[in-house]
Amino acid sequence: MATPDAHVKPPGLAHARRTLHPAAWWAWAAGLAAAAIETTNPVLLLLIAAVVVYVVATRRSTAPWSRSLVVFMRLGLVVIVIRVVVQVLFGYRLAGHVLFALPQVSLPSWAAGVSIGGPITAESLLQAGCEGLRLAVVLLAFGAANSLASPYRLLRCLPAVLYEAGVAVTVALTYAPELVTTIGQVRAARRLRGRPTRGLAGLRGMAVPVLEGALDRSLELASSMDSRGYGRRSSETTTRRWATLATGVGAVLVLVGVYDVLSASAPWWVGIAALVAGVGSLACGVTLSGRRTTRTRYRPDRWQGAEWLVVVSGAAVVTAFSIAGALGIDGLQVSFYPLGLPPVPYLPCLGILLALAPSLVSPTGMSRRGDPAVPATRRRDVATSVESR
Amino acid sequence: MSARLWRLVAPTFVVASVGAMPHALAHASTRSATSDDVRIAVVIDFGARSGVSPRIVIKCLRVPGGTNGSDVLASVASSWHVPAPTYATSGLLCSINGYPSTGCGTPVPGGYAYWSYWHGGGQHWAYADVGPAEWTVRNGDVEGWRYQDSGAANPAPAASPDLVAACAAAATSPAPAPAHDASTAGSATLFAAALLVAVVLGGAGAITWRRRMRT
Repeated sequence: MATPDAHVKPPGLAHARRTLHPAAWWAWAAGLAAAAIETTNPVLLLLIAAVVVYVVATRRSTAPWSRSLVVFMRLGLVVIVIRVVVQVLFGYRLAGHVLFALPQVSLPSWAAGVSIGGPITAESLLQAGCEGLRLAVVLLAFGAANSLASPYRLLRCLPAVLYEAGVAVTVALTYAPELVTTIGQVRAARRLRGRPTRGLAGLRGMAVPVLEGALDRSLELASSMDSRGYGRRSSETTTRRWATLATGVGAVLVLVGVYDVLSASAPWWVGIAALVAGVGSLACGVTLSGRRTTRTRYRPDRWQGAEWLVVVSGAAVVTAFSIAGALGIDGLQVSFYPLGLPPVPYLPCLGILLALAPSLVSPTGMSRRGDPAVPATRRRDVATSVESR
Repeated sequence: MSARLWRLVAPTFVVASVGAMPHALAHASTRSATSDDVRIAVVIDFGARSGVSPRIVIKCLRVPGGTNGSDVLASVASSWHVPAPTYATSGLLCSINGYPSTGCGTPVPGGYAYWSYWHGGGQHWAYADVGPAEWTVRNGDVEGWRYQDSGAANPAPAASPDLVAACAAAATSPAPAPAHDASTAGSATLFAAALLVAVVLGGAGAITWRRRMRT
């Protein structure tokens, strides 16, 4: 796709080497995740999952974190299994077709509503499976964002006001990608030593080194950034303090607003009002703190037409789901009582298919660190030096 | 547990549970056939504001021992040829005989509009502690349902909680008019088409993924 300012680019730089702005990928994935939260329809959830897998498969780079999707997919499968097993063992007893019965523990009358064992119905298993699938698809969208966006590039475009919480922000943004990288390393190391890497024995041997290693790597990155002046400033001013307050209040309001908008248990205007106030407060904080920043960025990621298209395609999914919810179209929340095929609503399906757009419009980032400026011959050196950090 | 032992145990568990399934089904059906029937009544009160006519419907019936409240409600609906009771994803009962047609536990001033569950069989109605699927009916029970749409007040069904009186009323009271099942069953074609799209997309993604891994 031709980008608006393609002619500005330095000559000799292949267009295919440009990577999409990481924030655009996160916005796209957030749109899909928000849509998945709105529904328990297995058809819609599977469609979202398929779109996510397809876009990541066609647009991922060769960076170590691009395998995030696989890791999060496995995590999602574990979530589904846990949800179904919990339903079988402790779930509430619902009406329906009894598949089999577990021995039931009789509980005293004050524990009414809690049950252990008892008859297991097909309806309750399907319901539990769909609820597990919803969480798995949200995790998959998160994994897609981690696969597609470079965490280091994302770190670079954070607003200045977040420098205060430098370590926390760094760890939050890079933990998942570092986890995926560490899994690969620990697995390779164990394979070399002839230790098991699969099954229960592999899990037992790998869990602690992987979790610890990933946190260590994130903290190490945070401290190295700290030592290079990230998040430092000369003096504390009143403006900065106000900016921090505005950002904190704004973040909490946005959180409340998003919850209200998604849950729909509160009146609709409460969520919108909180969201607007929160975004306003955040914008105040960011502009106030950014005013005094004299930091410059080396080769900043550009925000071009492709970025806009990717963000719009993610937003289209949420919009389609919200409109379907507001119109009361059947099929977002599926009940298996009575047992039957879930209805497939048109509008959300069309919205999900729009989210395929990034696989057509986004540039393919095939360079190792996602850096368009590093020539192909030097990329390997950069990668190894960063990895042997 | 070692991996080898786990590999042995896991398939055994799966085979055992799948093998037990038909046995459990068969067991359930034989038990229902041999055990003593219980005589109960079901009282459904649509509430003063519903506008449903008749407002109160009563059914006097015999069910196999060990039947739960949900199954009773479903069998009553099928004997009247009215829509089966529907439940929300949380297990909350949404509609009886197709009423209300939309919404489930929707907020009204002072509370929520919902179907309340009562146990009769004597002089008084008692508000149920557990849901209908967890409640096994006993001989002489009266299963009461009343739609609560008035907010804070939580009245019991406006009918007698006594089995004999309920059955006498059932003999004279009209049955609800048969209605079409307005359930939202999806079209199989659309379902298959959407599933096919998902599988093709996912498969194309997996193939692309492997191909790019190789290069």
